[in-house]
Amino acid sequence: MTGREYAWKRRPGWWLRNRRYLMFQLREAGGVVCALYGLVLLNMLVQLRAGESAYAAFLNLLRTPPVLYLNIVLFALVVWHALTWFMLIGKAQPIQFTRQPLPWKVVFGINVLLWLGVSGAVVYLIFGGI
Amino acid sequence: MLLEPVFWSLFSLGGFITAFLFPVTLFLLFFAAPFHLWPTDPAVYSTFVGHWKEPLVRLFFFVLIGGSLFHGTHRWMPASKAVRRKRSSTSS
Repeated sequence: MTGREYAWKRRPGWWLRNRRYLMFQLREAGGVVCALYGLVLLNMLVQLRAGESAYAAFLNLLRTPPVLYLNIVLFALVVWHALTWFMLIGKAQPIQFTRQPLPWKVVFGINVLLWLGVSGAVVYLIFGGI
Repeated sequence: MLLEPVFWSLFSLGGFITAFLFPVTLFLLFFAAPFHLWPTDPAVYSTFVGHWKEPLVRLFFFVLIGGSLFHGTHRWMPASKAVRRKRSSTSS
C-alpha cells in the first residue's frame, strides 16, 4: 500500500477558525487531561502509601493557589469532555428501542440523569456519604 | 491491525469511565474542601486511608486510573501519528 501522492494538508490553527472546531479540540484536549489526572491519582496513591506527611504535602501542593487555578481549568476540560461524551453517544450509536432511533437530545438527557445517579452512588459507596 | 477493535473498545470503555466517574471524584478530592463546598474533607489522610482499606474503593481507583490512562493515551495517538506524517512528508 502506498501513501497519498499529494498529502492532504490542514492549515495550522484550523481549529481556531470557528467555534465548533474549537469546542471539538477542547474536547480532545479534555481526553488527554483525563490521562493526566489518572497519573495525578496514581501519584496520590503512591503518596498515601508513603505515609501521612508525604500525602498531606502532596494534597497541599494541589491546593495552593497557582496549582489550584490550573486544576480548575483542567477540571473544566474534564467536565466538557464528559458532557460532549454524553452528547455523542446518541449520535455515534443511535439507540433504537422504538421504530425510529431516539433523538440524540433525549439520549443526552438520559445520560445526564444517569451521570447524576452514578455520582451520588460514588459519593456514598466510595467516599462514605456526606 | 488485528488488535485495533480491542483497543477501540477499551478506548470507548475508558471514555464512559472517565465521563461518569471522573468529575465527581475530582470534585470531592481536589475542590470540595478548598472552596468549602462540602461539609467534610473527603481527601484528608485520616478519612481517605480508612476508605482505602475497602476492596470496592481499591477496585474503583484501579478501574478509574486504568480507564483514564487508556482513553487519554489513545486520544493522543491520532495526534502523534499526524505529527509523524507531517514530519515525514516535509523531510522527503
